[in-house]
Amino acid sequence: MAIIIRLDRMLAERKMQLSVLAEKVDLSIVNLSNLKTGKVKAVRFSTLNAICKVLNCQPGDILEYVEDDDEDDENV
Amino acid sequence: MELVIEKKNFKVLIKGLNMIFTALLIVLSCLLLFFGALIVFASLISENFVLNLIEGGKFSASFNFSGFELFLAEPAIKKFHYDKGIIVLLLFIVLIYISIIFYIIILVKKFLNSIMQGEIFTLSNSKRIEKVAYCFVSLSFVINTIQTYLIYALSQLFTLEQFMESANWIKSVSYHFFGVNWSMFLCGLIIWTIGRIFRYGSFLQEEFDATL
Repeated sequence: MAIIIRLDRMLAERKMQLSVLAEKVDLSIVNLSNLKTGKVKAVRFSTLNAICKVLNCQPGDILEYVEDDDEDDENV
Repeated sequence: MELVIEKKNFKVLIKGLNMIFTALLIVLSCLLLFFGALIVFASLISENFVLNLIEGGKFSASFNFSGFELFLAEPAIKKFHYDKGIIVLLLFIVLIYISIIFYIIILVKKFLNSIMQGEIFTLSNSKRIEKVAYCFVSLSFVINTIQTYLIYALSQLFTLEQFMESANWIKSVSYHFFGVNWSMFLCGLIIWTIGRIFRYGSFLQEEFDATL
């Protein structure tokens, strides 16, 4: 997938544990872990809003777009 | 508040249906065992044993076809002709019919159990519904044959054809073994459509579950 989740980087910068973030955002640790490892297919704006609020960051700090190799081949 | 009540009512309904289908399952299991034992018994006993039983005892017989009941007089009952082949085949056909119904009940029960566990729109549920649909479609092709053979077998055993043909107002008797029960076929199609809807629902459920 082309969207990379940089949640672990933000958590390290804010010196916050995943469990603390999960409690503050009112999500389960399992779900946040799935987000961190890129296993989720979609994120609601409300969830992204809550995470950014707690981590005091922008959505771009958590989400990063990287071009897929497959997409590169299609363009060529 | 209304949502909570609706949820409670739904749970009660599912529990009630589950109990009904469990009871049906038990009854059908007993019927299957009974007919299985009856087939074995019918294939082992001699024709003379049955004829002696009928001659010695006092029996009454009646046929009920969709609300129309025909009571046989004693001379007709005494003319009972025991044909082992017809009886065993008849019991075997009834056993197959009950087995198909039993399979449908098992599928519905598994579906209800899955709903009680909170898993409604899953691929396995949609497959169960589709299997029920296939059973209905299959039954629509064979049920006419089963019913006609039942009437044929009983008329052969009680030699009813001779009685009927001896009446001046009956010209002849014929049996139509092959035909489609269109109501059952249509039910099968509708249930299959519902199964495909559940399949799409399982896809949407997966998308929802994978959304944070």
